[in-house]
Amino acid sequence: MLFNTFEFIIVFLPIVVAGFFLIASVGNSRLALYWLVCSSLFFYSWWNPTLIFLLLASLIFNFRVGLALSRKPSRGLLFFGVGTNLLALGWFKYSGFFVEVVNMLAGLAIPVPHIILPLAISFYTFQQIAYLVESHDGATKEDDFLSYCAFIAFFPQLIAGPIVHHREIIEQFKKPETYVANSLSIGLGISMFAIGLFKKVVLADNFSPIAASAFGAAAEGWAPPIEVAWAGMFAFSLQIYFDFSGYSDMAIGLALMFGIRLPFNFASPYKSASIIEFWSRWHITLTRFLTNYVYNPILTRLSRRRMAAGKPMLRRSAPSWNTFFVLLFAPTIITMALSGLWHGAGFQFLIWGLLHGLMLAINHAWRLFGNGLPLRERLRGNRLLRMFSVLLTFTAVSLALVFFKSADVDQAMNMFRGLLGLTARAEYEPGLFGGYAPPFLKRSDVPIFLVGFFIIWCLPNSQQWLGLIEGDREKAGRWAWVLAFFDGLRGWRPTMLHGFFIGAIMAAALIRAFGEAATEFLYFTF
Amino acid sequence: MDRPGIYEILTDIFRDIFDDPGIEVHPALSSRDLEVWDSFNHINMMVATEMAFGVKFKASEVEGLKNVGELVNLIETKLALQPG
Repeated sequence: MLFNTFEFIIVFLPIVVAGFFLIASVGNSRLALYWLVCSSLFFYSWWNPTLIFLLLASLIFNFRVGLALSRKPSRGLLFFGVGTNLLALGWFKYSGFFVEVVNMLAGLAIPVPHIILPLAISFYTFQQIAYLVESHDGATKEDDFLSYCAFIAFFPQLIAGPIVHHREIIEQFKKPETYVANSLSIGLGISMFAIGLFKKVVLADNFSPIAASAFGAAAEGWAPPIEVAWAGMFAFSLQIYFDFSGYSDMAIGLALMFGIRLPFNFASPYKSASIIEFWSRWHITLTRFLTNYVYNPILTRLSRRRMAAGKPMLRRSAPSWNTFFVLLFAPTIITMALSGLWHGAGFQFLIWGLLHGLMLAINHAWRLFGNGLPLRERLRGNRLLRMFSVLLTFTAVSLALVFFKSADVDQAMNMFRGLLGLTARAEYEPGLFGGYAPPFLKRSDVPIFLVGFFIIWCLPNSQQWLGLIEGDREKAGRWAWVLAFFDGLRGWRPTMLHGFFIGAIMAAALIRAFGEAATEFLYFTF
Repeated sequence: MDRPGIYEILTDIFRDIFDDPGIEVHPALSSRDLEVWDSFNHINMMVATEMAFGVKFKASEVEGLKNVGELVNLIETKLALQPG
C-alpha cells in the first residue's frame, strides 16, 4: 500500500489512527500497541503476503540476539548476528549481481538467478545491525518483543526510513502521553503529510516524464539531443529530491499523528555549497548510519595504528599527501562505494558511490591544501562565490545521478554523450529517435522547472516550516525572522495562514493523487 | 586522576588536533562550536584521547557524546574501572 493511494489515505490511515487512540482511551495502551504493530504488518503484507515471514523471522532473530548481547556482550555473537543479517541481505539483493561479476571475470555463463527483492530489506537490515551493535555496547536494551516490533515495523518508517536508532524511538513508545490523542501533534502530522504528498504527486511526478524522455532515449541506445539531455538530467535531480524528501516528510507526518518524532532526513540539500555540506543535508539518517558503522570504525582503526606507531597525523597547518591518502581518501572512498552498492546491486550504483567518494576527497583536499591561498582568502564570504558554489555542487550531484538513474553503464554513457552534444542532429529524423519527435524541449516544461528551482533554493524546508508553526526559533533557523514579524502583529499568528496553505496544497495533491494511477516511490526498490 | 587533571590533558589534545592554541576546553563545548570539529577530526581527537588516558572507546561511545562534559564523564568511568 503506497502512501499516495486512495486505500491508504481514505481507508487504512483513519482506521489505524482512530483505532489506536480508541483502544488506548479505554485504558489499554498495551493493546493499542498490539493494534499498531498488527496494522503495520498488514500494511507490509499488502504488497506480497509471503514476504511477511521473512520480516517476522528477521524480527525474532534480531530481538533474541540483541537480548543475549545486552545481557552478556560477546564479540562472537555480535559477528554472528551482523553476519547473518548481511548474508540474508546478500542473498536477496546481491546474488544476481555476484553471479554477473563472476561470469564477467571468469568468462563463464552461469545462469543469473532471479530472486525477488523483499520490500524494505535494505532499510530494516541496517536498522537492526545498528541495534545489535548498540546492544553489544550497552547503549540500549530491549526485553519486550512487542516494543521491538514497534521500533522496526512501525509503518510510517518501515519501508524506506528514516533509519532510526532504537534509543531515540523506544522511549517515545513507552511514554503514556503517546497514547493520548493530541490535536497539535495530529495537526502538525497532517501538515507534514500534506507537504510530502504535494512534493511527491505534484512536483516529483511532473518531473518524471521530462527525465524519462532523455533517459528513455539513452536506454534505447540513442544519445539524446543536448538540450533534452541537460533538461532530463536536472529533471531527475529534482524528481528524486521531491520524491524521497516527500516520502520522508510523509513518514515524519504519519509518525507525528501517533505522537512519535522521527529524525529529519533532508535539510535543503540543494542549498549546499560543497559536497561535504551536501552529505550532511541529504538522506541524513543513512549518512549517520554509514558514518557510525563504516567510516568511523575504519578511521578509528587506521588512526590507532598510526598514532601507536608514532607516525604523523593529518594537520591543517602542515598537511601531507601521504597521510591524506591513508587517513582521508581511503576511508571516504570505501564508505561511499559501499553506500553505492547499498542503493542497488549494479556497476552504475558502484560508480555513483565512487564518484561521490572522489568528490568528497577532492573537497577535503581543497579545504586542507588550499588553505591560505591568496585568491581564496580574498573571496572568503563572497555572496557571488557562494551562489556559484551552490550551482557547481548541484551540477556535480546531478552528473553523478545520471549513473544512479540508469539501468546500466551503457545507458549512462549514452546520456553523457548527449550531455556533451556528441551526436549529429541528423540522427533525430522523425521516427528514428525512438518515437520522440522534435522539438524535443517543450516550452510548457519551463514553468515546472522555475517552480522546482524556486522551491529548492528560495523556500524554507519542511523542518524549518514545522519550526515556524511551533514557534521554535532554533528549528526555524534562518527563517526565524518570520516569527519575529508575526510577533509584531499583535493577535496574528502564522496558524491561520498555515491552515489555508496546507488546505490548498492538500487539495491539489489529493486531486492529483486520486485522479491518476499512483506511482511508486523511487526508494522502494532499495 | 581528578577532573581538573582530565581537562588539562584534554585541552592539550584539543589544541593539538584542532590546530588552534587558543581553544579553551569546558563542559558545554561541542562540535557545533568549532568549525574544524568535523567527523574526521572527531575520530582523531577520540583516538588521541584513548592514547593519552590508556582507555578504549566503543563504537556507540565514539558517536553518542553530546559535549565535552559527557566525554569527561566517560573517561572518569573508564579510569575507575581500570585495575590499580
